[in-house]
Amino acid sequence: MNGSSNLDNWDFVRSSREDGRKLRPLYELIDSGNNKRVVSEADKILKKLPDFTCAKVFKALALIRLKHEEEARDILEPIKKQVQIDEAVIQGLSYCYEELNEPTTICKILEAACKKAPSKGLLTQCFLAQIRTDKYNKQYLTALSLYKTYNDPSYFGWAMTSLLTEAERSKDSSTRSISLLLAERMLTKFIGEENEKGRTVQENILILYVETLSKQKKWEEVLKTLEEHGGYPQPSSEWAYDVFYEVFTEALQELGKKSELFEYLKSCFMKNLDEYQLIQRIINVFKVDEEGKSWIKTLLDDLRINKPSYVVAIADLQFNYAVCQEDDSKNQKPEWLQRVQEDLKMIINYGAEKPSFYSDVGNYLSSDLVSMDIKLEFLEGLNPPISSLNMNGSVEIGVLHVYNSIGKIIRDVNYELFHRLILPDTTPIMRMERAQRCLDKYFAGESSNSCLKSKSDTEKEDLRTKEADYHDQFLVIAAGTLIAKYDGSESEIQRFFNGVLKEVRASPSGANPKAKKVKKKTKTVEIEMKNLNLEEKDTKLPYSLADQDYLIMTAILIMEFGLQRCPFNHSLRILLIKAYSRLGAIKQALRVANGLDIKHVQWDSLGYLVIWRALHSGAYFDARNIFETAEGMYSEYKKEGMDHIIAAFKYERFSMIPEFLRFRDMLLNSTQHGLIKVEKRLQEYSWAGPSQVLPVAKGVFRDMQFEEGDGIFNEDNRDFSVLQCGEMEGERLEKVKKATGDVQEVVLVARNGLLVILTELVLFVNDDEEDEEAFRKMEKRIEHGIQGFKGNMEGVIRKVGSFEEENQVPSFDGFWPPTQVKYWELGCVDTLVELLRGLKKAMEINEEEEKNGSADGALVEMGKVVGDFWTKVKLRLDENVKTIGLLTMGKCLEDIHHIIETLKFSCILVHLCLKLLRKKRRTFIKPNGLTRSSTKRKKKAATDSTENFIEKKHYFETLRESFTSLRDLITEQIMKNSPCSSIFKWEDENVQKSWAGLIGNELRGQIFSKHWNKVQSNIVESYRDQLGEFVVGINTSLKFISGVENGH
Amino acid sequence: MTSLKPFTCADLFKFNKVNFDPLTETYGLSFYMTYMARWPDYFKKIENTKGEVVGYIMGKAEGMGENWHGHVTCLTVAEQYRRQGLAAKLMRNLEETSEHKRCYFVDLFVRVTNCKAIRMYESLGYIVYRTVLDYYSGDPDENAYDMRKALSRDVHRKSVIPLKHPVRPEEIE
Repeated sequence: MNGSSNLDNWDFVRSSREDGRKLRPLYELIDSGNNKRVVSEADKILKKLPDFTCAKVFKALALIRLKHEEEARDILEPIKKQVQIDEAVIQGLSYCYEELNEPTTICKILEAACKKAPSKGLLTQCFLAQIRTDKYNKQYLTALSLYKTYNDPSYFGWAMTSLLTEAERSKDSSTRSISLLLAERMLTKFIGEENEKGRTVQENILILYVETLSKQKKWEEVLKTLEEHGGYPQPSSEWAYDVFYEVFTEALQELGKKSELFEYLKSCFMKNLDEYQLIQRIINVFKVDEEGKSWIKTLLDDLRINKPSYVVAIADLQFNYAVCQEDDSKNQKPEWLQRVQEDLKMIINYGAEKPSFYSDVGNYLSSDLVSMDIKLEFLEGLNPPISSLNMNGSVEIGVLHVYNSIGKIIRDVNYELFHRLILPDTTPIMRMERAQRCLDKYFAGESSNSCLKSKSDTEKEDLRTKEADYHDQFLVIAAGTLIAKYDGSESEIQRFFNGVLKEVRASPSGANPKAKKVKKKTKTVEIEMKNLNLEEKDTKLPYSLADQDYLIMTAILIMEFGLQRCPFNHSLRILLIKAYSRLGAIKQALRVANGLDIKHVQWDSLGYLVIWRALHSGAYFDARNIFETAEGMYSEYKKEGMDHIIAAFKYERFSMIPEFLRFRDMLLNSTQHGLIKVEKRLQEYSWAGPSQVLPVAKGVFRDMQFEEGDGIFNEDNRDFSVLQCGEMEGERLEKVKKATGDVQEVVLVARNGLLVILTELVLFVNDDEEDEEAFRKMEKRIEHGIQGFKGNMEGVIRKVGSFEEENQVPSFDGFWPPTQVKYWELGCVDTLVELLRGLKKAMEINEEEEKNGSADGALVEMGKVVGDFWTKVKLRLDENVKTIGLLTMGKCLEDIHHIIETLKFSCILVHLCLKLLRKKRRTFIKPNGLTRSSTKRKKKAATDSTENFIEKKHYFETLRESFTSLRDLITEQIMKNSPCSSIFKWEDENVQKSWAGLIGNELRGQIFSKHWNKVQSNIVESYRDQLGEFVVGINTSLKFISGVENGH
Repeated sequence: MTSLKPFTCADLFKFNKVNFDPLTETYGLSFYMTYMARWPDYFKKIENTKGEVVGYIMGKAEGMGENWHGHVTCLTVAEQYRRQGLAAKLMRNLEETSEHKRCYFVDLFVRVTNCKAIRMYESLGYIVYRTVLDYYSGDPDENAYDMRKALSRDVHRKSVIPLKHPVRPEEIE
C-alpha cells in the first residue's frame, strides 16, 4: 500500500468489520439460494443505511438470479461509475457482472480500483479478470506491476506469457515482432540476473525463452540456450523431453546442421526402436536429397540385417515408397521391386498377428505403386496355413476352420481385410459369398476362442472386462461388405442389384455351396415365392422386398446378432447406425447410437453421426434433446473455459496457455456448434404457436450475437476415423469430410441468414415504435436477408457441383451429396424467398394503393406462392409414394421434413405480413392537424379494417389445405402403402427361402430365425414413429393457423 | 507402429475410438483440462502412423511426505492396438515422470474383476497394496484393488507393504 491511501484503507478495514456483521445474513441467504429473502433483507438494511453499497450489490446479485436483470442494472449502474476499493463490494460486483456475462465491466472496475489503491490481492484479481477478456497487453502490464512490486518470478512468468500470447494472437505483424523482441530482452535480462545470483532458472521460464527465440527464428541462440541450460545434447532431468526434442531438432534442421541432426535422431531411434515418430522424422527430413537418402538407406540396411523388426520393415517400405513417389521410373526397377517384396515379407513375418496390421500397412497395399502380382503374393503370404481358403477366398466344403491361437484369428481377420482391399467384390453375389465366408470364420473363431481361453478367464468373464474377441471382426467385415454398395446413387444401386435373386437361383450350385440342401427345394420355393410375391411387385401386397433390399437387410441381421453377442463392438454399432440411417429408420439408428454413449465433447466430434439425420428424418423430439444437451456442453465450456487458462497461469504451466486458447477457438468456432445453435432456434420457430413466436425471437436476439464478424464457425472437429469400418478407406473418407465440412460452413451461413431475417422481422412487427424510417430500413434488411439466405444457398449448390466435378467426392450415404441439394431442388428456398419478397412488397404499399386493395393483393400473392410450392412438391411426393421401398424411404422422409419446415415458416411469414400491415396502417396515419382522440379513433378504425379483411379472406386457407393434404398423404398413403405399413410382414421362413441360395446354415439357424421378426418390426415401428412426429408437427401448425384466425 | 506423445487439447476430438471401450469413461471437459493445466507431463497419448489417438494415460502427482506419489487416473488402449505392449509403454513413461518428480511410489485403482488389467499391472511390478470396498459405484458397487509399485526413492519399499484389511473409500488418503 502506498502512504497516500492509508487513511482510506483504515476506513475500509473499519467499515468492512462493521459491514461484515450486517452483511452476514445476506451472505448466508445468497449461499442458500434464497434470493427473494436477500432482496427483502437488503431493502431493510438500505432503509436504515441508504448508501450502504455492499447491500445494494447483494440486492442486485439476488435480482440477477431472479432474472430481474434490468432492475439489477439500474442499481449497479451508479455503483459502477464510482471507483470502488472495498474488496467485498468488488467481489460482489464481480459476481454480478460475471452472471451478466460482462467480463469487460469487471476488468474496468478492478483496473480503476488498482489505480486508486493497488494491492497484491486486487492486482491479482485484476490480472485474472483480464484473462477473461483476451486483453493480453493489459494482462502483461498488470503482471509486470505485480512482479516489480512483489519480486516474485511467477509474476514474471505471467507477464512473459501474456506478452508471447499477444505476439501469437496479434494479426498485426509489427505488434507481433515488437512483443517478441521485448519478451526476448526481458527474459535475457531475467535469466542473466538469476545466473548472477547463482539461482537455477526455472524450466518453464527457459521454455518461454526458447519459444521466444524460435518464434523469431534465432536458432543459434536456441541451441546456445539448450547447451547452457538444457543438458545438451540430451535433456537434463529438469527438461520435458518432448519440448527439448521438438525445439532441438527444429533448430538443427533450420540451421542446416544435417549430419548433426541425423546423428541425433539416429541415436534417439536406436535407443527406442519401437518409436515410430523418430524414424518417420528421419525419413521426412532426409529423403529430400541424395546425400540424405543415402544416409537413410545405410541406416535401414543396417537395421534390416542386424535388428529386423516390424517397425524397421515398415520404415523401409515408407522410405521406398517416398523415393518412388518422387521418381516414378524407380518402381519398375527390379531392385526396387525386390526390396518392396522383401519388406512385405518381413512385415508379414513380424506383424501379421497384430490387430493393427491392416491399419498400419493398408495404405501401401492400396497404392498403385506396386503391381497386382506383388499384392497377390502378399495375400498368399498372409493366408494362414491353418485356413482352408483358396486364392479366391471361397470356403471349401466340409473343412472346418480351427484356430490354435488368438494370433491366428487376428491373422485371418487381417487376411480377409486385405483380401477385400486387393480383390474387391464386383457383384452382389461375391459380396454375399464373402459375408458367408466371414460368418463361417466367425463361428469357427467362436468355437476356437472358448478353447483358447484359460479356465480362470471363462469363470470370471465379465462382458465389459473380457479381452477383445478378435473374431468379432469377421462380423464387421461381413456386414461392412454387404452394406458398402448402398452408398452409391439410386440408379447405381438398382443397376448393381438388378436381377440378383434370379441369378442366384439360376446358378447350378447357388452362390453358397453350403446351401445345396436348400437348393434342391428351389422349385417348391419358387412356387411359394410366387404365392407370396416376394420376388416381384404385387398388387395385393402393398410392399415386397426388392432385389436391392436383401443385402442390407442381411447385413442388419448380422449386426443385430453381433451386437447381442458383443455389445461393445463400436465398429458394428457404427455400421448398424449407418445401415438403419440408410433405410431412413432413424429411430432405430438412435437406439443403436445410445450404446456409443456419446457425451460431453463428443457431441462436437461425433454428434454428426446421428443429429442431422434425426432432424431431417422426423425424429424431432430426439433431435431437440440432442440440441439441448450439445448446446449445454458448449455454453458450459464457454463459461468455464477461461477457468482452465487461469488454472494454467496459477500452476505456471505457461506452455499450455496458447494450446488452451487454440482449443477454445476450435470448440467454440466449430461448424457443428454453429449449426446446432442455428438449427435449434429454427426448430423453436417452426414449433412455436402464434403467441410464442415473439418470445422465441427475443430469445434468439439475446442468445445470438448478430454483430458483424462474430461467430466465424469454420472449425471442423468431426472425427471421421470412426467410420473406417466398411470399405471406405481413409483417403476417400477424408475427401467426404473435406467436402461436407466446406459445404456445411456455407449451409450454416445461409440458415443463419434465414434465422436472422426471421428474428428481425418478428421483432420489427411487434415493436410499437412507429417510424417511417424504420420501415425503410426494414425493407433494406429484408433484401439483405434474402441475399444472405438465397445467395448462400446458391453457394451451397455451386460448391456441391464443383466438388463433384473436380474432387470426385464418393457418394456417402447421409453425408454426400448433402441433403441441402434436395432442399433446394424441392423449391423450399425459392418459396421462402418469394414470401419474404411478398412481405417487402407489402411494406412498400402506399396509402393510396392500400385503399385500392393492394394489401389484400400482397397476402393473396403470398398464398399463391405457397399453393404453387405445394402443387409442385405434391407431385414429387406422389412419385415417391409410387416407388417407395426400403431404400427410398429415407429420402422420402427427408423430403417431407423439408416440406413441413418450409410450410411452417410460410405460416410465420404470412402471419408476420398480417401484423406488418396492421403496424403500417398505424404508422402511416399522420396525427398532424388532428386531436389526440381523433388520431386514436382513426388508428383504431384502421386496425379494425385490417382485422376485418383478415377475417374475411382467410389468407391461411392455402396453408391449411397444404398441411391437411400432406397429413392425408402421410396417414393414408405412406403409412398404409409402404414398408411402414402394418402389413409389411415377411415371415422369416419365407424370406430365407427366397434367398435360399445365399444363406448358409449358420446364417439361417443362428441369425435369420432369431432376429428377422424383431428387426422387421423395429424398422416398421421406427417409420411409424417418425411419420407420427411429422403429423404432430403438422397438427401444431394447424393449431397455429387456428390461433391466428382466432385473433392471437 | 506407434509414437508416444504429449496429449493435447485437440486430441479430445480424436480419442473417440479409444473411449468406445466400455471401461473408459468420457469425462466432462473440465476434468481433462484440469489435468492438462496441472499435470501435463502426466498426460500422454499413443498415436498411430495416421496420427490417430490409439491410447492414452492420464495421471497426477500428489500426497505429502512419504506419501508423495504418482497416480494413474486413467489408462486405456484401443482394442485394435492391444497385445503390443502399449499400456506398458505408457505406464513406464508415467513411472519415469514420477521418478523425475522424486515420488516414492506409483499407485492406481483397478476393478477386482478386471483380471486382464490386474495381470498386466502385476507383470509391470505392481502389487495389490489393499482392497478398497465399494470404490466403483454401480449396480452393485464394486471393490477396487489399490495397486502400488515402489520407486527408487522408497529405498526400504515401505510404500508397498500390503495392508491386511480392506478399507472404505473415505479412508483413502
